[in-house]
Amino acid sequence: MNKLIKILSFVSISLLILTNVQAQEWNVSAEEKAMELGVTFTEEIQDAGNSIYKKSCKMCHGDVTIAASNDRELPLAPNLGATDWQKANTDGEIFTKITSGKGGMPPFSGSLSDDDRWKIVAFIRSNYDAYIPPNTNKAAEAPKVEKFAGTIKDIETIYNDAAQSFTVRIIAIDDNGHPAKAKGVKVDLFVKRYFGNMALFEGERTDENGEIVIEAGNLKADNEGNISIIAQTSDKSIISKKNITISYAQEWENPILGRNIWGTSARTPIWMLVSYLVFTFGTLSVLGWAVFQLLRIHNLRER
Amino acid sequence: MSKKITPEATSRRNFLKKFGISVGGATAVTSLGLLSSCVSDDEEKVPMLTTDGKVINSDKSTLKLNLNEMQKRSREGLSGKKFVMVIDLAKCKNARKCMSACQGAHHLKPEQHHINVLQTENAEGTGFYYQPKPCMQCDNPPCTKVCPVDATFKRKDGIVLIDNERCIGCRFCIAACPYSARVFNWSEPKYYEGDENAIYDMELNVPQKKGTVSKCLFSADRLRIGKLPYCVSACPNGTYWFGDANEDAVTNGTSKETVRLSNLLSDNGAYTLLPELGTKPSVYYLPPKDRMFEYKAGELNYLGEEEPKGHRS
Amino acid sequence: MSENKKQSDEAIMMKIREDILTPMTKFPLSYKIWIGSLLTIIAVAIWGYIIQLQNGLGETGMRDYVSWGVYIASFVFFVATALVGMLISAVVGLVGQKWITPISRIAEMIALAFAMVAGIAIVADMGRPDRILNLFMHGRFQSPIIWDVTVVNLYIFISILLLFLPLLPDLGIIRNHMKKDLPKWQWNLYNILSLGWVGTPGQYKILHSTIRVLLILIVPVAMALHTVTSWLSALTLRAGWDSTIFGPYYVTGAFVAGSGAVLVAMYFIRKAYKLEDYITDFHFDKMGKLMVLVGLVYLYFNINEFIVPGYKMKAADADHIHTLFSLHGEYGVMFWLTQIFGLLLPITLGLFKPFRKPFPMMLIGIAIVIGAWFKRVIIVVPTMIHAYLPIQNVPEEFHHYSPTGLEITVTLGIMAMGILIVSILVKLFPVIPMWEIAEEKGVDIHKDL
Repeated sequence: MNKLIKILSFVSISLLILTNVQAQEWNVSAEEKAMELGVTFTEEIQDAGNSIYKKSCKMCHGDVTIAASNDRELPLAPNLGATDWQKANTDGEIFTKITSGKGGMPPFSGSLSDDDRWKIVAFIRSNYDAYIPPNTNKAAEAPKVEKFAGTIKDIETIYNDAAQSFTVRIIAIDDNGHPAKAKGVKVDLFVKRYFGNMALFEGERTDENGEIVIEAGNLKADNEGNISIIAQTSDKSIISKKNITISYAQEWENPILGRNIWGTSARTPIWMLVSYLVFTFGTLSVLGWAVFQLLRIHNLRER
Repeated sequence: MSKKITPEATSRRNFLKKFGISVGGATAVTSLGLLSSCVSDDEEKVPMLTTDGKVINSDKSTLKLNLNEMQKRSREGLSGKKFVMVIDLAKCKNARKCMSACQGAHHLKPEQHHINVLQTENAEGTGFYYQPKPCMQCDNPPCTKVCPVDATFKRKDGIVLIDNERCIGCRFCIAACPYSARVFNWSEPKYYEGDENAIYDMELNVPQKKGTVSKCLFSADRLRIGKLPYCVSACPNGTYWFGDANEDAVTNGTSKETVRLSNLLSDNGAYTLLPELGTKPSVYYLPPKDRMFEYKAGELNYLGEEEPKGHRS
Repeated sequence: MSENKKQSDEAIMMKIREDILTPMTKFPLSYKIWIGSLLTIIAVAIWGYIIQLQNGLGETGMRDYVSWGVYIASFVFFVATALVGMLISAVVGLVGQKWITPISRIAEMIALAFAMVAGIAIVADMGRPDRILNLFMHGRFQSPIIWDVTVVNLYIFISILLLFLPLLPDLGIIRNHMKKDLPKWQWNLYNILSLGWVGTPGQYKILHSTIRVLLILIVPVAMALHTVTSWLSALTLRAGWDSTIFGPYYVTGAFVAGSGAVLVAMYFIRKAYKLEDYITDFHFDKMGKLMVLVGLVYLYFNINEFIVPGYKMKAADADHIHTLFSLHGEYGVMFWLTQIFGLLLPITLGLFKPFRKPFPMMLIGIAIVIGAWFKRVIIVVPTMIHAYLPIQNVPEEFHHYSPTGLEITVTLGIMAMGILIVSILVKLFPVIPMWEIAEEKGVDIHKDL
């Protein structure tokens, strides 16, 4: 009987999950479908959308890669770079789906602002070559980002100990083979950590000197003050790894050393050990004395 | 339990066992980890952290450790590390993948939880939310204080472990823990195939032993090889951040994004559980604000079956 | 010394010997049935314990949340009862009360027996009793369990000496007079144990000073014993245990439990051994008054223990208090029955002289002892059903605690073992210190009696 109930409940739960995940249809009104992209379709906005995507969407949808149709199966959510999907959905539709969610996908209306959600749409659309931004005038007004035309040779990272700042510089040559200042190149800077690389910045563009300066602010290093950093162009064509040494190295404190934190180690605080031993051996010595008295009584047995 | 094991399976299992890596755990993680980009399937080399904090890539076949060496290594812990967990309550939707991954890895029964997703509210009428509750790995642990035989102890990397080869089963630590983080093997534990010959791994607490206490260990065996704990990497919703406070960095178990711990905590108004007790937990919670998932009143019972209405003690 | 005096001394001693030693040589059917039934209970309990050893503590009602149950409650109860040795002999004796002479040995026997079975109760509660030696190999001086193990053993040691030392002159008497009444092995035993006691003034001098030192020593050791036992709870962060008065609360509670146990033992030993001339109504009256006194002190600590958190009603404390105070609470009925029949009623009735007669005193003693045991359950269990965090995702049985039949059987077995030890001790040794009675009656004891 119990087993039957178990099986029945299992079946019903499975059905419930299936209906949630698959059978339920998107519910997008015509009005919502007709909404236009709420942000300007600039590279800057797309980058911003990308960073929101990484935090809020990537855990289920993964990286957006361009493909003809969805190439992923459950439990992974669909690849949003699928061309057929991009073609089938209007901007407003994508926006509404992010807003209200469905089944396993949560609604983001509470956790992301309208602006942020539009930025995600902009980012998703940046992976669709055939996309035409709705308001091309607006896009035209936005300053065009110049792309660096020369060849990037290397990335150099300089650590300024006094300012606790990093300077990431692109070493490049122009078409004539002369050293050039590579402006507008997207660069990432990571610090190596135990479970992964921590971004100090990602997708930042170099300034007119071909550099990015960032204040790191009290970055934690290991016992010797070493930090491993990785600088790369965002397209990962050039990756440069480097160990730097900082001056404000912090000594690692072993949390279990010292008798004061007596609860955490086998070390006994002296006051406790002394109290214990004095009490125990004090009592034992009196008892020993008492046993010795028995011996004395025994020795007095002859009158 | 079926005892039929194919020869290859046995040898593979024995092979893995020697390094204290449980097959149950490994499969649970690979099958549940959605984005397994960080889970390397490298069979030949294992990154090992030596006790003085250096990472070495060791050949697996040279890593035959006996019980004594494993015990010694497990008691010492990883140098220079101070592991912390940050749980983002806004992300938890009670998927319970953490619980099942944990129970699989540590060979636990359905009612034994190293990590337990609770349904709780801060004060009456303020609304319920899901709250995963592992061991808090306190810096002032009430449990290790009372242990008469040093079977439970705190390591230098901040993890509170339990040695079930030494535990006498007095359950004083269970009484002392205000977070109810400890479980006891009241009867024969759930043995997995191969457990009977397995070398006991304190960092995994497998095989479990009847009459001893078991608890969350932050998956110390995984941390040693530079991987995230079982529960953290099993979560599909990005609830868990895990990392090293000395590096000031935590990595999300789902998106694998690494951020600054101090920023994450201060930006979100992080808090610890029952701070008034002075236990100094290593597990932080981010408040369940702007929740990604709605709280559903229905409750799954301990077997994962749905129950009509939620009840709290 | 006059010849008259010698003759009267001899007559008094004859009577004392007759009254006190004769029951030792007789084994009436009632005694055999009594011992037989105790042994039966113990045998069943051992069988139960073997099942528990094989299948684990899952055979008990304890689970992850309520992880201590009647075993620990019984442990606390046994330790509490054992403290009576210190109360009667040391505290009351040292302040110069002479009336305790005929019951001091009964108190010492109870103390020794219950201190010994307290250790058994702890072993029964252990998940891995096979690893008990770890306590000595890996003991941590920070753990209250190590303190408890140490001090329980010290207390047993002192109790043995405090039982044995005042026995020496009596053993000398038995050796001198009972050679033909006793089996050879038994007489040999007394002969050896008497350590060649001949009652010289030198021997008495040593005996008196040693007993006095031990009586002083047992006071701090007994206090430490029960204070440390209370710390097993009080040193945790749990609501209901997190209390600063747990030490004195336990110690005074122990006095109540112990005087109850002595009242019961006095009654039945007096009846079985026909000792009406030695344990008189006067002694019951005095014991009753002592019971009222320690009961009032314990009541005072009870008021503190419950009113203080009950007034403030901190969240976790409030849950605990409701469980106990409300009759709808899980432990409400048990709590009030315990408090009324185990404490309030005995104190009230004990105030009136008619109730300080032997029979009512025995009934009150039984109520006190049963109440004391349930009070230990009240102290141990309800705290554990209130964790700070919600108890979820576990089977229904984890939320509550009800001891299983096996658990109760083993507990009864341990109790039976304590009672058995007392029953054997009272058969093996004179229950009344003959030489002290003789001395009180003016007999010159400084000679081989």
